[in-house]
Amino acid sequence: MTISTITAQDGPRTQTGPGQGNRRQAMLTILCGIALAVALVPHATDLVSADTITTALVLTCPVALAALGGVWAERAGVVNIGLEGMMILGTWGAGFGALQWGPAFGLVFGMACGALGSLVHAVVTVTFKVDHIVAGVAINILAPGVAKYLSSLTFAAMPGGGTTQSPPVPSLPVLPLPFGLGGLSTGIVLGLVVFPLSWWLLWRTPYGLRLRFCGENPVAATSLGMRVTALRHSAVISSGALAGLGGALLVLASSGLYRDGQTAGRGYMGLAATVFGNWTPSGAFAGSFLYGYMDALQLRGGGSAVRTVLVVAALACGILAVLVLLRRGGLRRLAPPALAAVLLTAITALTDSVPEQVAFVAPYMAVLVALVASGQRLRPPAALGKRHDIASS
Amino acid sequence: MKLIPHLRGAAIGLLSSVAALVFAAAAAWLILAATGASPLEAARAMVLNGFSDASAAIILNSAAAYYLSAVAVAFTFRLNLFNIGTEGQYRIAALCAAAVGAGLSLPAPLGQVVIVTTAMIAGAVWAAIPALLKTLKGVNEVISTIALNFIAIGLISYLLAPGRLGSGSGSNMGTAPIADGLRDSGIDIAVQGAGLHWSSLLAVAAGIGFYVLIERTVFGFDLRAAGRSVDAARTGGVPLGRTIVIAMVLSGATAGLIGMPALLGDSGSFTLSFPSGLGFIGIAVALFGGNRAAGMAVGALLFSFLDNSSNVLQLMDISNEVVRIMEGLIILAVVITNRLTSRWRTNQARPDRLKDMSAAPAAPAPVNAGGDA
Repeated sequence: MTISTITAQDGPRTQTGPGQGNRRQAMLTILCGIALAVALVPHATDLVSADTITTALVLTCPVALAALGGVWAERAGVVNIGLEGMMILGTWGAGFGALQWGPAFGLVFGMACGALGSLVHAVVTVTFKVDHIVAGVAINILAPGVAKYLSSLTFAAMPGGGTTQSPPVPSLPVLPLPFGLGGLSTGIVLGLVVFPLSWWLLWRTPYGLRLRFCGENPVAATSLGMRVTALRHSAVISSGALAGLGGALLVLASSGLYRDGQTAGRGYMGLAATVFGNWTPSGAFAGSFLYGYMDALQLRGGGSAVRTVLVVAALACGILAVLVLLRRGGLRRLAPPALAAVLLTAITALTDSVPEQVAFVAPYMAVLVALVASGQRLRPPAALGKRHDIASS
Repeated sequence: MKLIPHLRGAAIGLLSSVAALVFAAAAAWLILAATGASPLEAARAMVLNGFSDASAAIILNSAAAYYLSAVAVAFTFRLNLFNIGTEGQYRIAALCAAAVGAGLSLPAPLGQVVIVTTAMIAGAVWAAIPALLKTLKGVNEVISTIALNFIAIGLISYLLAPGRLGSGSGSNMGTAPIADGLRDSGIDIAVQGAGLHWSSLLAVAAGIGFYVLIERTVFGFDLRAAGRSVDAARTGGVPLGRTIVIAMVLSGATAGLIGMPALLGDSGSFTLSFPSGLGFIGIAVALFGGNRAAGMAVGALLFSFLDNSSNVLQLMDISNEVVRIMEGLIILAVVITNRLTSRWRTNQARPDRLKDMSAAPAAPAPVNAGGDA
């Protein structure tokens, strides 16, 4: 038991019943708000245009794969802050693999590099039982150094490359989409397929049940004859491979080359999505989509698009406040949405475009707001972050 | 008589740190040898450069910043609270201090006090956000501090735009310079070129303050107790929420000091090229030093030496990232050896009849004696 898990224990543990209803109601409200706003607010149709959605998918996928990696590791009870470092290893691996043997091998090699990084994490945390966050931080210091060192060895000598950047890499084939939606890189499609696959593996197979058991009660799992160490190793290595795939997609499906510092904290945002996605593949994807969507909006539409989102958010908060009022909820429940609605309305009324620097911050603000909103409804795996050490337990 | 086991414990602790260093150095040696460079030449160049007069002051100045950063995170690490947000906290603090300092026309000691205090308050306020989010809303501090680091980047570039706090353009975009009278004139020690900054002595003060507060006060005891076991601390009556907020605020205030040697001693204003990344190095230094005042001092000097002397490697056509790899390996090796020695100590502290039971499962043992270690 550490400080990190305090509030999870302190807060009310709502698993079914009113909590579930509240969440459904909140989702419904947000959907209603968006629908209304799209109808009412000028330029709001840009928010749901096909272009925005495909860009959002491309930006979501790397983060979401890191988040899925987080789900794998943390469901087995291992905190994986090192996702960012593993993703960085994946970007180098993808760049090098694609230039040597072609884009498909780039994907595979990126995954392998991420898995290699997570092997270190697995050995340090599972075998040597070092604190998980400490080990992850160490990986995040080590991995960028390794990637930069390798890139200075490999890419610097290539024509068009340098010490911090690779030459352009061959890209993956593009899959045409129906209904005039344009095309989507096969890498992204592959990334999307991994989500249902992971869900099936973790929730519908004996292996997945055992893996999740290790995250809930490793001592009981051991006494039932499960090989906790091996299971946790496999979970952490899969986690790194997924983060590596996320990094590989940044190179092969998004920017078209390896660049130093390309991940820009996406591994960390993935970890955030793992948490407020309540440690499920679907939740992790939805959380990452929030980040990817806001990122796509600020990249494509800039400040004015972000302002439109704020208008939509103001409307949604207003509707929520009215609903609370109709249900005669107390002041404690009414205050947050009402205040938020007033504040957002004031902000949007004063400006017709959000400054560019504030728009850059929008995805991170969205993540923070989502964490605050979902904070106490989350239920982490019971043994998350604990050292599994029979001798000392 | 009680001293001997203590001495033995300290010796083992020291030995394990040295073993970790040797391991990391050997790994770096192998990496260099594998890529065809001469490890011996590289090591010689680094040591010669590191101990030359001109670089000694630079190394001490940056060690001071590393140490402040390490102390800042150690306030929360000792509570098992992972504040990754030092990076954002010190940059926000330095910006606020620079903006206030630029408008000041106070006499020398008073003006500096105002600037440093501003930095501490700004850092503390920025650190209070994740603390309150955690205690009031249960938001995981690792994630909120990381998000706040990015938000700090956005906020700083917003505030630095001309017409707000800044002027100029490109990477020169920054606050107006602080008056010369308020700048850090430097301590005149016998070195050429660079001098040691007065503001680097803030690190010494922070280290002493950290030691006294954590190891010698009731608050420090509460903090360490909660860091070891939340349940035990809560049962013992430690106010958890208050401890979290105070630890984060102390951490943020200390983080505010990180930028002071650079601001008062070097640049005199906050620009877009103000040193970055100091917050992340502090995490590495704190982990190396086991979050103890003395250990972190050794770590700060070591990392500062490695970072500053690695520049010479580029003259030899070796990427100085080798040093980064070495630093990461040092951290990993140190935490592993610490873990192994603490397990060994626990085993030593057991009654004789239970000793080595976990290490030697083959020996005849009672049926319910537990499994392997």
